[in-house]
Amino acid sequence: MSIDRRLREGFERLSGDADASVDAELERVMRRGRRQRALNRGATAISIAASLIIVAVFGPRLLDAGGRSDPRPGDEPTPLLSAIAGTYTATLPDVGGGTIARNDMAGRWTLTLGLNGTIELVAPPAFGTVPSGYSFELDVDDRFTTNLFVNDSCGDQGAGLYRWRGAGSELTFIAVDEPCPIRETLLTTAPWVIG
Amino acid sequence: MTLGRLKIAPVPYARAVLSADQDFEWFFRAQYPAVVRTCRLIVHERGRAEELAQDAFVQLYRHWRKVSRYESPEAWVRRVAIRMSARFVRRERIRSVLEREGTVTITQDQRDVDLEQALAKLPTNQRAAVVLHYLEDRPVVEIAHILGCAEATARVHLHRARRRLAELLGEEVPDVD
Repeated sequence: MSIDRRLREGFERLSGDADASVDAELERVMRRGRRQRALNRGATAISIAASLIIVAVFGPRLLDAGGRSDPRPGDEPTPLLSAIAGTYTATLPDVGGGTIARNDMAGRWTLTLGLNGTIELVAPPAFGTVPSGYSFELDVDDRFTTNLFVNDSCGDQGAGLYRWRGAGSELTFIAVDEPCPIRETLLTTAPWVIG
Repeated sequence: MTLGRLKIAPVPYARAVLSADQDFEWFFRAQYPAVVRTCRLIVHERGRAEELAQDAFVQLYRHWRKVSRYESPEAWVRRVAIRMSARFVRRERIRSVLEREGTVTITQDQRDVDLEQALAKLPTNQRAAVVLHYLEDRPVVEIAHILGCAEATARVHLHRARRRLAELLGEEVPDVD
């Protein structure tokens, strides 16, 4: 028997029947999905309410204290983006095996998150030049979405979704829904430090 | 900005007239059994495979409005399910090393133990590639899309998996097409 026939027939037998409880599984999946959606909406609503309260209470004071001139129309940074905008560096360790070694990613990376949602990335020499034109979005639920490396190192894998945390001079990302291992490795292996 | 909408295709009219939940139900009934079977061959446990497939479909349900407009929602949910299965396999390997067991547990109802054991010896990407090809009849280009790698890489995964399985099972290896 050829290996192809053995695999087709064997896999068919091994995989077994899975149709018996589809209705029950569908109901369970939709129930869980609705619950998660509701939780997500609740958390978003709380975040928005909290943000509005903070802006209402502290916004005028900050503006008064800053004494800054009126911004020009079209020049205003999005308030959400300004929470994270800046230039950061991270050093990826030179470890054997894994995504870092396979893709020559070890070394110092510089990440600039612009007030207008743009991303500029400077890679270690071994990795090569990173094209510009990538971008990111933030939402009020501390989620960071980016198309970094799409149509390049990530192929057509689409955008990645992360949660971000800023503590002191450090910025960290936690992957929530990330199809691209290279981007996930870059963003999550080491904390990003301002400077 | 167009983030998250990078691969959105126009919604066909017939599908647009269905409600989002009806649309999801239709998709679930069509795809869930196949995703369970694929996960089953990657993780080697029927119950775990069902849990992983459910988790992947819960993710899909949460993002259904967006993902349903992608070119290939079935590739999206398989990618999520395979990624979750790969994480499970990795955790199980670590646990098995810690417990000094070192082998995959074989359940009682398996009818092709040799094949299952041989499959368990493959790296997860090779395992997923060979299952997608021989169980789901997917061409290399779709396997690459689901695994999130280049077509050439998927072809290598498939070639190595096939050669290794033939060696382990003592089967003939006809010339690769």
